[in-house]
Amino acid sequence: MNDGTTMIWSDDREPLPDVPGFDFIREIGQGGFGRVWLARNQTTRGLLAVKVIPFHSSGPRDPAGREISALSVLEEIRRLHHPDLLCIHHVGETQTLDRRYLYYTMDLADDVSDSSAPADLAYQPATLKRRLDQGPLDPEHCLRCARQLLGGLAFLHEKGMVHRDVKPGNCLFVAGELKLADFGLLTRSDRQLSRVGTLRYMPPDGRMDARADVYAAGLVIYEMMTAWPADSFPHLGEMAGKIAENPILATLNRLALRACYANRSQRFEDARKMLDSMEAWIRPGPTRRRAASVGLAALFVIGLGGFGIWLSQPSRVHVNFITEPYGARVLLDDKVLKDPTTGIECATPCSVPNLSAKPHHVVFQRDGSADFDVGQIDFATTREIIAQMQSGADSEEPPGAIAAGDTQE
Amino acid sequence: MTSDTSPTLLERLRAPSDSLAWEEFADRYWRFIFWLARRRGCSDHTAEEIVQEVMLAVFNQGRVFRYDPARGRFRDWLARVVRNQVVKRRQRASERVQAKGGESSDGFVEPEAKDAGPDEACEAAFEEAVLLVLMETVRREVEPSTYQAFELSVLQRRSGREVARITGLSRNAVYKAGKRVLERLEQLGAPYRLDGRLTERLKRAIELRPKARIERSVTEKIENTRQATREPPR
Repeated sequence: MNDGTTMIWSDDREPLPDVPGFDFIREIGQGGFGRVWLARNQTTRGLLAVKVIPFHSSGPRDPAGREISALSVLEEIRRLHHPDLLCIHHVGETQTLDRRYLYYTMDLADDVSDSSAPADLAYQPATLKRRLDQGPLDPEHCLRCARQLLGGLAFLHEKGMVHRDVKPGNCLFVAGELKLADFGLLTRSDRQLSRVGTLRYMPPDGRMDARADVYAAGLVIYEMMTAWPADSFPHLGEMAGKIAENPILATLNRLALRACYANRSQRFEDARKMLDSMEAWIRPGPTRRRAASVGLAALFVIGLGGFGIWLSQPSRVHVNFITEPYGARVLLDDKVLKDPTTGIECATPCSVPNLSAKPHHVVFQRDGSADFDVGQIDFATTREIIAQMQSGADSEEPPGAIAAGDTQE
Repeated sequence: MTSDTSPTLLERLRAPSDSLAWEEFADRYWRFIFWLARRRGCSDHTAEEIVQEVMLAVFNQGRVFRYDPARGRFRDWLARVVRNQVVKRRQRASERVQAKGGESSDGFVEPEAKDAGPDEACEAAFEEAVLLVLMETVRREVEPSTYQAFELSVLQRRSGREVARITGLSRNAVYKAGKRVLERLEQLGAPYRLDGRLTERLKRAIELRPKARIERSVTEKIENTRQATREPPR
């Protein structure tokens, strides 16, 4: 749903449609080719949102026809009233002058300035998009909204449906809870899936299936955490420090990165898998974590031994030298290491080929830091040396070095 | 910085029915316009309004606009459009002040820079915009985790351990990601003959990037303009 700020309606002189039983108060949004109105039920005096879409033609690409097809799919699950999906009450058709309209009524979102649904003229529906104009959500709220978004989406995916228009403008707050809305592009996942949706939330591969919804959900979570627009993903800017310090935000960032892989096979298969992963990453059980540590240590030992045998002591090897911070000289057996092709001194991080596969004494030297003596390292089994150098006030952890085998990304 | 505006992009700008050309133009140039306005003393808010005005002016001229290289570089033309908008605003602000009989810096945070000439301001702003476009190009070529690891480890100088925790990559993968992206940027940036260290320039361009609120607002306006020009199906 567009917030109706600048988008133009195809014909602004179009008459106000007459929807039986409702008084239209004012327009509160536009979405696709329809308008959304704040309306009052003439019998109960209750407030609702009413979406109205004019019929342009009888063809399958007509927006109203497409919306009817989507609402027919939604009909299969509407009576289940999933708490994370916006509730649609009634769908009908009406005629005003010589124009036919499709309309449907739905729950009214909170006011953007207040959590209760008001009737006054200042009312603006509280969409996630409007909320993010004020800045990022706090971590706990971010997590709750991510749960609700993925909960609603997982329900659709489990029922064999795809939303195809997940974005902050289509996430509404009703009584403070996030609801996924605007089902105009909803379809069954076993149908032919045409490339429709909002361009900036579409995955690069363009296939609008459950993995496309996952991709869009990843972008929405990124926006919730940072308030940067989706186009900026994965730039974190000044939010990086906050994300590094907060385990919830760090988890949500990893979740968003995984959901937004360009390579679709690396994304979560559907929203249920994404939600389950999020819950597992947020609260890993202590037993599980310990088991994972023991397992990793065992693998490391086995791997190291295996590599030793497998490598069968090559005569020349390729070694990565990495320090934090970067920019250190490398001393091998008290001699400054130079690039074999250019003859220029190597500065970390550097990747040096053609070193002899035997034990060498390695020292890192960096201006402003104490020399770091890594000690005797056997290059026959070590492909990477990582050292944390003590650099005055910048140092956040004690100096240390890791010499690792030939690990791959 | 000596490279000229991409002729391919300008070629595509001549086709107003191609909505991508408009988006691409907007994506590439809005920050350039914003920085030019800021360098001419405008506040963030005024600079944002100038972006909107200039984008609209270019958009309206797009249907008949023909770029003739003999008339000068496209970016110089764009810089003139920005300068004219800023001058108009300064005049309006000054008239308002005279009418009120007081002093005001309405919409501006500082007087127009005297030390840097307009050409220097244009070149500096254009370089910053080009650097962001280079980063944007690489961002689209690699997976998001790879790009994020680069920004955090190389440009923000965060420790490998911290970046690994944020991105979910291994420390080795973080190191490789930083190296790979930087190499690609050096390769892409080579025709621009940048002086000095590329990382320092990239860092500066990232630091100067408009705030999240402004990026949200401008990209939203670009999106709305694009949507508004779409014909409804009949």
